[in-house]
Amino acid sequence: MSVTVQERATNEEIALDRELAATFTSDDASKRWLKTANPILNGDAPIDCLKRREYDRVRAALEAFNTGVYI
Amino acid sequence: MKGLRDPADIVASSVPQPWSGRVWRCHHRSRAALNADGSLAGIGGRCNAGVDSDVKPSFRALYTSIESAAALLEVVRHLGYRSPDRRDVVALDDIAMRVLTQIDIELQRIFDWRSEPLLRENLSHASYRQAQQIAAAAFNREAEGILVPSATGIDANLVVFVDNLDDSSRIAVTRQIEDLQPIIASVARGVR
Repeated sequence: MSVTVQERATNEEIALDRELAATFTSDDASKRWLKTANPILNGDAPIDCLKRREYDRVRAALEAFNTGVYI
Repeated sequence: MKGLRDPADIVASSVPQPWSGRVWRCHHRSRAALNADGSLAGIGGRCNAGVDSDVKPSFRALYTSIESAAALLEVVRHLGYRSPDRRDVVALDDIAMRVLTQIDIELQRIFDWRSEPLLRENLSHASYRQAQQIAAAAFNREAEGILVPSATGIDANLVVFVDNLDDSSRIAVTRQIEDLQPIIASVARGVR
């Protein structure tokens, strides 16, 4: 059984939601990170990458935050 | 940029030296303290080239700070807190899942660029290209790390190039602090 593009996007969003919930203790903090322009993403805000369905880039930026990379 | 040296000049005229001391990192409590893999993400950090950077090749860096407060403030920059007014941090519960790790470090070959004007000037740049170029040049000269100014204005950062570590060099976790409130309070008071 093949997975549709829409199903794949939904699965990616669910996985990312889980990672955000594990990273931040409040929705406000999560939203702040998503809306902040991030040099690791070449100046894009993670929310803009999500609109383009660039889930891998957002996950990578979240990992950089979690592992303490300086920007 | 007047009076600032070219990155190639800085590296060519620098002499590697040993360094030892204690440094701090602030990271998510679920991540290993000495994990530098996240630094390869995207463009990379301020002093290392990630997989999407124009600077090649990409290389890993473990970001640390001499002062614990600097380690904390460097990390909250990801959340957009870049104001020189450190009282902003008081309200943060965003770092509740974080831990401060103290690390004992003994390295044989680092470049001390704490007073380098070009790196100080680059702290205000949106692009990390130049800082990454300098760091890459140090990495290519087999430096194990670089001491650079901190964007927080508090002391300096030691950026460790984990793939260049000498057999005789040492990095060891000495302790971890999970309750960050006292440090947040000291940052708010301007105490380091």
